[in-house]
Amino acid sequence: MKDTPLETELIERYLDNELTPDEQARLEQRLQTEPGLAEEVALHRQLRLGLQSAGRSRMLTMLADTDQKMEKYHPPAQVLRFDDATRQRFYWAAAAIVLLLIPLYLVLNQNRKADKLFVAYFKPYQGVNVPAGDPLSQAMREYQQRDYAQALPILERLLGEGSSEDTTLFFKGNASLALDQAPEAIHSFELILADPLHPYYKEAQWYLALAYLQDGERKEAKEQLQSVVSDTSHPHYQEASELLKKL
Amino acid sequence: MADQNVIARIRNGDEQPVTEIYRAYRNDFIYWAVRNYGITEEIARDVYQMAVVIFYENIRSGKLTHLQSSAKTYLFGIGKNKIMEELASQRKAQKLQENFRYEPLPADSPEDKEELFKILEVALNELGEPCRTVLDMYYYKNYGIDQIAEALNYKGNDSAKTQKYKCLTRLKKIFARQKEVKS
Repeated sequence: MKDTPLETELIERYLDNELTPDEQARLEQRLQTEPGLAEEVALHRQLRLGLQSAGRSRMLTMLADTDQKMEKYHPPAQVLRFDDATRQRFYWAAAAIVLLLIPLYLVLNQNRKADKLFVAYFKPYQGVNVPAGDPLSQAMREYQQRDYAQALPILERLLGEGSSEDTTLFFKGNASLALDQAPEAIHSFELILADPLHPYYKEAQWYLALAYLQDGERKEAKEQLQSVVSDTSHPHYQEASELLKKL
Repeated sequence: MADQNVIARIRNGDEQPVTEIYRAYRNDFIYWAVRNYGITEEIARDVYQMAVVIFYENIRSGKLTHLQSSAKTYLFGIGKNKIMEELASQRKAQKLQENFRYEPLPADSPEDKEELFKILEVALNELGEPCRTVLDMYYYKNYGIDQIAEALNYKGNDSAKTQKYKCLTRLKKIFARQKEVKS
């Protein structure tokens, strides 16, 4: 075949499917008989593909250059994104948590306040002198030395033996209170208050109020303090009045 | 950046919007692709570059004349298809590696094509300007002869047509010679 502009145009129109049916039929007939033409068509096809590939490579190189000039990519920090429904649920959950936390906060705050008040008002009852050889003497020695952890088991043992029960029970309550064992202290003082003639009855009223305070039972503590302040001659009237106001 | 304006500018031969659009959505695309398809940042970057090029080619070839959605959505759509192809080819490569056995390459295999493209690249370098630009405009960028004449200041369409014919003839000769050298 001759390499002329017309032949080239014919091949290009063939590759672009732009030939009329007649032109198409004639060219396909020639392709059967002219090996040179078939080779030329194949070459054109290769060159077209190659030129398209080269053009694409050039564009990709241009974009790679652009990329190099850009600020380096940094993944954004993880941000939690919620849709409206999730956001609504989140708000409700947050509100519920706040509502649950408010009473908890108030309770904790009150307990902290109660603890402070307990520390401010609690002074273990002073010890009593007992003759040497009295079963209570060893416990009282430990108690007076403020070694309540040593005193308490001795007092408990003595109670089991039925020795000097009135005094032992009262000091056991005090030792328990000093060791932060409010329930045991409450138990001891309540036993004392069951007996209006108990020698430590009025003292037990006051210490029971403090035991309730240590146990976080403000309502019971207040009631107990009110019973103390109802008696103006009570040895703890002044302190009980103050404490009641602070509660 | 007005998306329809981007199409019009590219149609008129302006390549600046290609880099503008690349810059505008690169970070969003990489973040989206890495996060949603578990590909590496490097692959996401390559895919995005290819997506922008295809966006450009579709405008130049007349496949894309106006956008139904935004350019960003269009680009991400192309990108998604490319990621799927990439993931499929990774799976295929892994399978091939697992069941490797020697098979002769078929005639006109991708390797042959790659080789021809390399020879053509050498031939294009030898061809030089303005032929390289003329052929790139006509065969890759789909410029009409009239647009080439205008862009390259030829006297008329016939001059541009003749120039294109001469360039193609020269390229054919160089290409044939380079092929012989290689073989």
